Amino acid sequence: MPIFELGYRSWTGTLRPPAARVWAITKTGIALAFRSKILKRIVFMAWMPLLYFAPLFFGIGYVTDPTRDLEKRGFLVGIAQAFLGETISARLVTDPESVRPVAWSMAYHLYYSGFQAFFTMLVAAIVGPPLISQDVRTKAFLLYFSKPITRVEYLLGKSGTLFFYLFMITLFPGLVLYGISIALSPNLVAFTQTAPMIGKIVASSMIIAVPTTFVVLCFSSLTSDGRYALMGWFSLCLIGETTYHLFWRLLKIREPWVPLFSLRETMRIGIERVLNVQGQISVLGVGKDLQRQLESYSSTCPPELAFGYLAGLFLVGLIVLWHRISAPVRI
Amino acid sequence: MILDLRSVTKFYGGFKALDDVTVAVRPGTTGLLGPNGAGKSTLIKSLLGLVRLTSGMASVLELDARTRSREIRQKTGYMPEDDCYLAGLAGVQAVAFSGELAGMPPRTALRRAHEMLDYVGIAEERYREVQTYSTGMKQKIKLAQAIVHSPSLVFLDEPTNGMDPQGRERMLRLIRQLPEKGVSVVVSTHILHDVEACCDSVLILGRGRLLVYDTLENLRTSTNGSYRVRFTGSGDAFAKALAGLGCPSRGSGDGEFEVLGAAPEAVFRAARESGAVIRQLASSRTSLEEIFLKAVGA
Repeated sequence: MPIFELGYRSWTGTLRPPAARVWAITKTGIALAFRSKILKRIVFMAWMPLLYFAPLFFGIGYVTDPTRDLEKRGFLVGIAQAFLGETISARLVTDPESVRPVAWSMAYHLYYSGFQAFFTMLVAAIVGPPLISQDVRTKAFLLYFSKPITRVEYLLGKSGTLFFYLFMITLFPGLVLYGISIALSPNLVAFTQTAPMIGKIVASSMIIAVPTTFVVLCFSSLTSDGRYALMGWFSLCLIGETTYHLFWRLLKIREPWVPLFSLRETMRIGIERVLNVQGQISVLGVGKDLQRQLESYSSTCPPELAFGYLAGLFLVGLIVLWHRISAPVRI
Repeated sequence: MILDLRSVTKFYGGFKALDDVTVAVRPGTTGLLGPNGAGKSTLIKSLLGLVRLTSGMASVLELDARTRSREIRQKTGYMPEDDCYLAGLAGVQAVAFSGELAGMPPRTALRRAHEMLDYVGIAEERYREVQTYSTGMKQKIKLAQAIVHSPSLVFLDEPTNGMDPQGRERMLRLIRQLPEKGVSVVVSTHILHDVEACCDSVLILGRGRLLVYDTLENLRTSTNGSYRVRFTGSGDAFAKALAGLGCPSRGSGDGEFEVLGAAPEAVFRAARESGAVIRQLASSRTSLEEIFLKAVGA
């Protein structure tokens, strides 16, 4: 109890701009989600691939350094050959620096479409489902919208929370990896050659984070129980992935729409297009192993269709959210 | 005027929730009364811009509710009737968060949250999560959230719902203090006692229509010239004298009459004629319950 009760006192002061209110929602969501031990562990584990990729990038920098004698590059050349294939590795002798952008693109493609796509599914499943469903259950909409908050600001605030965690496992480690790679590179040529990679890292992270965020929030807004939203998200991921493999591998149906069943594969196609792995490999030669490499990156689904599908998911999510948010208030 | 409504109408599909409501509400504490489905909550939500009016004009604190709802919500507070809270937040965090949503800087919002929790009477419990609170404590938290950003007008929807008598009295005391600090209050409630305890005006809605709006004082004062008379002497003789002057009366206890349709001069004259001594003569007052029942036609 207060020692001396002052009663109600009014307050006068400078109000902060609307962006600060969005940040208040985001910040609170981040803090609430961070109480989850599982989330902390998954975010920690999502940074673990750096332990693999940082030495890999160091190796790439080392073997593509023209000032070093190839013979003296030792066992790293062997590793590079295993990772890059014979044709590209052969370039290490004639034009080592031309290999660097290709190798970086291949490494980032593996990093984003392999490791981080998996962690994205888990982080989205933990952070996303309660974000709006909890507000529906506890009728917190009334508390939000009785304050000077618009639907757009609410949505930005909520999506900001999920964006933060998804970027924590995609964008931030990607940029850190880039920084480490540049730091470990033997000369500044590495930076000038790979500077566009920063934009590609941002774009790849966006390809993962934007549709994921809006789909998960869409599920979250449709229910007052976060578990149903979680089930919806896992169903989309797992049933989609299973259907894709059923069509692609077992039934050998290679129609352009088949990869669209899998959100992961659709994102991979988009990331591949952004990193332009196939385009860069193609200019290096026409060896048999290179053909195999190209096949592993290619898909029957054109990138435009994959981007269209991801944009469609984003739009559907946005439309549903727009109608669902504040709907309980209007009754 | 804190509220100015002109021909306000709101349809939910084919259902008319508000029907041509026109009223100008003065500053102070106003009780918003009406049976279930009368349109009280719809009216509040319309004024806050949470639901769009079908037709008519409404302004809150001289701001158009249609076009300037954001500014209205900046200057007003709303305590919802529903059991709503921000899950996972402790009481003090929830109130500070409300302050931040209203645009207060984080540190200021936290300091202000503590002040408001002191004001509503939540002590160490403020560090517990809101979902663990009792109904009464949740009501207090909602009030603190409604006033944390220092609004000029507060809408309180059933503020004493689920509170024990002690908590109810405290809540009413808090509500009574707000107008003293320049904060106007609109209290929507079913509990007539609450309105009598803290309001100076009453607005009664029924089936979406405005039935009554006036000060409680005016409403209680009989408009048909009735007086309550306390006297000593013969009641029969006094009644007969009053009847002789064309003023019917009815007894409501020993030595007490309610005289209908009489001027004070007639009462004094009848007393003189019957030998009764008048100890008190006052305008007859109607209870809020009578006013309410009469208004809603029950």
